[in-house]
Amino acid sequence: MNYAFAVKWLKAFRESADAICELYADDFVFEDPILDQYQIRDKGDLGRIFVLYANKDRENGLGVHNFRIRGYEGDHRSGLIRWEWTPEDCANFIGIDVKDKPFFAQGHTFHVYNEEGKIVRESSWWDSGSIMHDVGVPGVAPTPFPVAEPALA
Amino acid sequence: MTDIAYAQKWAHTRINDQAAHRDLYAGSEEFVIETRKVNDHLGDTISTDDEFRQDLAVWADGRQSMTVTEVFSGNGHVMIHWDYEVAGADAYRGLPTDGKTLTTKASTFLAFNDAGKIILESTVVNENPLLQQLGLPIITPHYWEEGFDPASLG
Repeated sequence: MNYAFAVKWLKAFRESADAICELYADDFVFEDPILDQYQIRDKGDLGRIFVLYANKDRENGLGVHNFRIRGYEGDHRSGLIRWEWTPEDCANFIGIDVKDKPFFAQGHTFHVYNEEGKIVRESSWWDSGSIMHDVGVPGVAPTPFPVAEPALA
Repeated sequence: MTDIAYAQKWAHTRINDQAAHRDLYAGSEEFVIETRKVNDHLGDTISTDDEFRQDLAVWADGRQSMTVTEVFSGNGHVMIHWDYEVAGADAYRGLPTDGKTLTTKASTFLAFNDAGKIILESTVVNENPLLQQLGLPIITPHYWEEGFDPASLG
């Protein structure tokens, strides 16, 4: 769609599951493979996926989930939202202890929109490997394979 | 060339022919490639010929393969889903593979200029399955399914 829609989409994350579900067409496909979420087509399932991100309680261990847009590339019918996610006060993340271990991740989401501007296809991906390094999981390196140090000209 | 044929060519050249792969992209400093978290563009964003040659060489090490599975076509861009395999590597993210072949799924978004050259690549590999295959206790419970019991996580 555009940068403004991307901001609206991420603000809806923080508001409520209902707010985010309104942005999707009735006939949609949602996927976030990193969380093993494939071929989600039911609004009830979609709402339960997003309820976590609207958590406002800093004491329950679910975390408060801050998002920022890095950019939008595409047009009104399809495109890529690039974003950054910084959870706060999260105790456990996909089975890993992250209490008092600040981290952030970057990801990208491809959207296809219908003529009414509703999302009909979503494909979301994010960098979980760097999180394992950043929170200090023993033995996990910062990159998949060693990389050369950058050289200043 | 269809978009899926183009995507297959992109994946094939990434692994097998860096010169042909370079030809798919716009000129030096007219493109960017980001395949990991960007803490600093110096080091994490490929945008020059030297960085292209140096940073993408690891893809052609003979230990990795990419198989395109799905392509979404847009106006001046494509989103590619692909299967990823690492075979014969001693380690992945510093963790010993003990000879295992690792598999997962990945995605790449490509945006093109008017000449059809790539000006933006954003690639994200789903590393959870790779790290699970290497023994990390990562879990992805289906918490969105109706009736899911959080107590089942123990």
